[in-house]
Amino acid sequence: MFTVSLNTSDIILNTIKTSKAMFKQFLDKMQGADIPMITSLLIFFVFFLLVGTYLFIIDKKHLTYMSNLPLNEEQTAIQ
Amino acid sequence: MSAINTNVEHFEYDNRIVRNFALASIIFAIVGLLVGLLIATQLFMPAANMTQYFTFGRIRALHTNAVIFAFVGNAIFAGVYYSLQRLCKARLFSDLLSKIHFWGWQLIILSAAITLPLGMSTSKEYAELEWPIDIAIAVIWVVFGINMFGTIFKRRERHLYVAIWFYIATFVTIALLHIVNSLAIPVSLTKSYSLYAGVQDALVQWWYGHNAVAFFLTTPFLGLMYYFLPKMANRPVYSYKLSILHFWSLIFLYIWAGPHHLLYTSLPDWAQSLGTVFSIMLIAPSWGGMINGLLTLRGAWDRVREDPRLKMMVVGITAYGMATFEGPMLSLKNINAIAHYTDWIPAHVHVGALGWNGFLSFAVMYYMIPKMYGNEMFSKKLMNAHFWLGTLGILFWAVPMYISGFTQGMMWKEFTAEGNLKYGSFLETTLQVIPMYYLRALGGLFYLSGALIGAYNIFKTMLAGKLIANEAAQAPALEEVYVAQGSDSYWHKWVERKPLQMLFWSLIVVAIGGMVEIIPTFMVQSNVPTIASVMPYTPLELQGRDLYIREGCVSCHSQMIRPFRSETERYGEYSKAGEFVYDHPFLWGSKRTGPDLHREGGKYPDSWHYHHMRDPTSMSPGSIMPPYEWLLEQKLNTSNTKDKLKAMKTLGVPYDDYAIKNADNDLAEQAKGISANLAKEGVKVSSDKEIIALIAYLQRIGTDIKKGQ
Repeated sequence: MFTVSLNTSDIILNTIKTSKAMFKQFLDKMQGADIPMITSLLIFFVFFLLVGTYLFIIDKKHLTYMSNLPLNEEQTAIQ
Repeated sequence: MSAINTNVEHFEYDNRIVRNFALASIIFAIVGLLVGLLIATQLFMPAANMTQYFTFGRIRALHTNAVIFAFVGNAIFAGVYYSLQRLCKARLFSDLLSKIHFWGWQLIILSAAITLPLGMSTSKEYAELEWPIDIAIAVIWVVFGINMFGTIFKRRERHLYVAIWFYIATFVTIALLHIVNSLAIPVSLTKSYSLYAGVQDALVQWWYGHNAVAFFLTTPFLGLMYYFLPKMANRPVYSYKLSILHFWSLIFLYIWAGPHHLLYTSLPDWAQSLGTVFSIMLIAPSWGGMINGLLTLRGAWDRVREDPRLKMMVVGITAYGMATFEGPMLSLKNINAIAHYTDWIPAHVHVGALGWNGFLSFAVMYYMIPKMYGNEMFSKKLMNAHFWLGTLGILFWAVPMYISGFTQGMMWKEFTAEGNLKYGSFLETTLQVIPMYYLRALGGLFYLSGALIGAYNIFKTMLAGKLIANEAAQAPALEEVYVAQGSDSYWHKWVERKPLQMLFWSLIVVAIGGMVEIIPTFMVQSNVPTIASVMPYTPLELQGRDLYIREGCVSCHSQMIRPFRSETERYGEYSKAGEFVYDHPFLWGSKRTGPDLHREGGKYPDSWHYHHMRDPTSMSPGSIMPPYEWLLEQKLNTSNTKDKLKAMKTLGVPYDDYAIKNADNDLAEQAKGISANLAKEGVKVSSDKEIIALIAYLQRIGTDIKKGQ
């Protein structure tokens, strides 16, 4: 049991170490492109928040109405 | 939702235009699939390359264009015009515009069918058509846009259903992509040079190529799914909220992902990383669409068993889910390193094309045709047969190509214990996968047979009924002044009920990604480090390069050596961004059916190329490359040499006035040199033949960098 937990902590420590190295390598490799990178992330984040907020405040009855639009068209048919 | 309006208006839906587009789609499906079967056969039977007009290099573009723009394009227009009228409760804006749209589009297809076999090609994938046709496409696309927006403006339903959002995004983005990617300097009516060169051209091309998949093969079909699936299953879409979320995320994210087509190439690292990150994020909105589609059928799965159209929808949507999971996986650099340039990529593409686009197109037509002819489909059994043949076709197409792709990826990279390439001859890796090419063609045959049955079934249905060309309908007119009712809030009014607002925001959302990636690549000098020894092509080499483009060599040969030991060992020094600064257009390619050619220059004597072009098997026994004997007989057209140099000069290639003035002499002199050299090697050929120019170009590729060393 003890061995298992020791191994697990080793794995976790190793994972953190590797991720740090990976992240560092990623940052080093960007070659001055940090501004487009960060800008793109920010744009996406703000955009996603806006769409999320819109969905949060949207009215349920309206959604039901909208989703039934294709099915309502029979009302327009002339028998 | 709104106050009841007693002012009921009578109007008629235009079914004729829908029928015409559907008919065109079915006919071109057969043509496109037949050409597909032919090129699949050519890959294991080089004798199937009949005459210079039907070689793989030339008609591969005919297949892709026929399937994407003729079969699928016409199906999109049929489905959009059918659903748009009904969702807007209005007849299409203008019958005349509808007709111009229909005939204009068919003329474009006809001109593609003529020019591509003649070798008139820009060589940019899925954008091969030359500039006059490009202009025609832009005009007809705008006609489609006016007709769509005109219909939306005169609608009798205040709210725009989500399907229409997808149609609007399709219209605006394709217009943007097509115009930016097609910018070129014309040399003559049938020849032009891309405005961009090398790395920039590659980035713009794959920004286009990737998003043509997104906004021609994905968004319109999601729109069709959101309309036709609820109709077929007779129940509303699973989650309208999800549809809003995945619409905005999808159109936002897709546009950034183009650089994943250029991983490990000379494209700047940061652009490659952006492409990868956004591709991974794309899984979420893509699967949002798939889940929303499949869950719409919750509680109606019994109907799927009964209804072949729903079966097609389910397999189609599942294929979409598989392809959109696979796409991001292929964007991971470690997977891409193995998969890129192999048969894995066509397998990925065909799961999407045959499953998602093909099956959805036919399912939609199976729904619309009987409705418009006031009857039922001629035979349900034949619909089922089509479904099963199609499904088998997809499997027989994709599975062998996956196996072939893995095999190629592994064989290209395998080293012996001594550190040499295990399969040093590229041909060995090609011959290994030939049995898979037989199976792939069988898959194509299955799929084509299914489509033929489908076509027969649809024609029989049409013959049994009578087209209701103008379908009568009625709906209350919209009130002049609209008062928001209860649940209708400010937010909905802001975007959802204003089509132009929707157009504007869709444009902004899709433009952001493109701008962030493309502008720095053009502006920042350090992104393309210049190499002093890289010089413009000589007039003869430029003519040879245009022959390389005419014959579509780029379909099977890349010119981009990635920085892997397995590639530098096989081909030579890896490709640098600065080597391509005069390449209008870039010719990096995306598939290696044959070996990479970027360090081909100086590798073999001139006579090797002569014999190889006359009969590839004489130099490489077992080769599947077709012979190009007409290059040995046809005279090189040199009447346009000066115009070509002038066009290049306009694009910034440093040809001085002296070089342009003496272009013809320079060309003749270099040609004589090659001819004399060939004579020394025992080949008698006059210096005015096309083969001389091609040899000049092949011997030049990738050699500039060596001069510097």
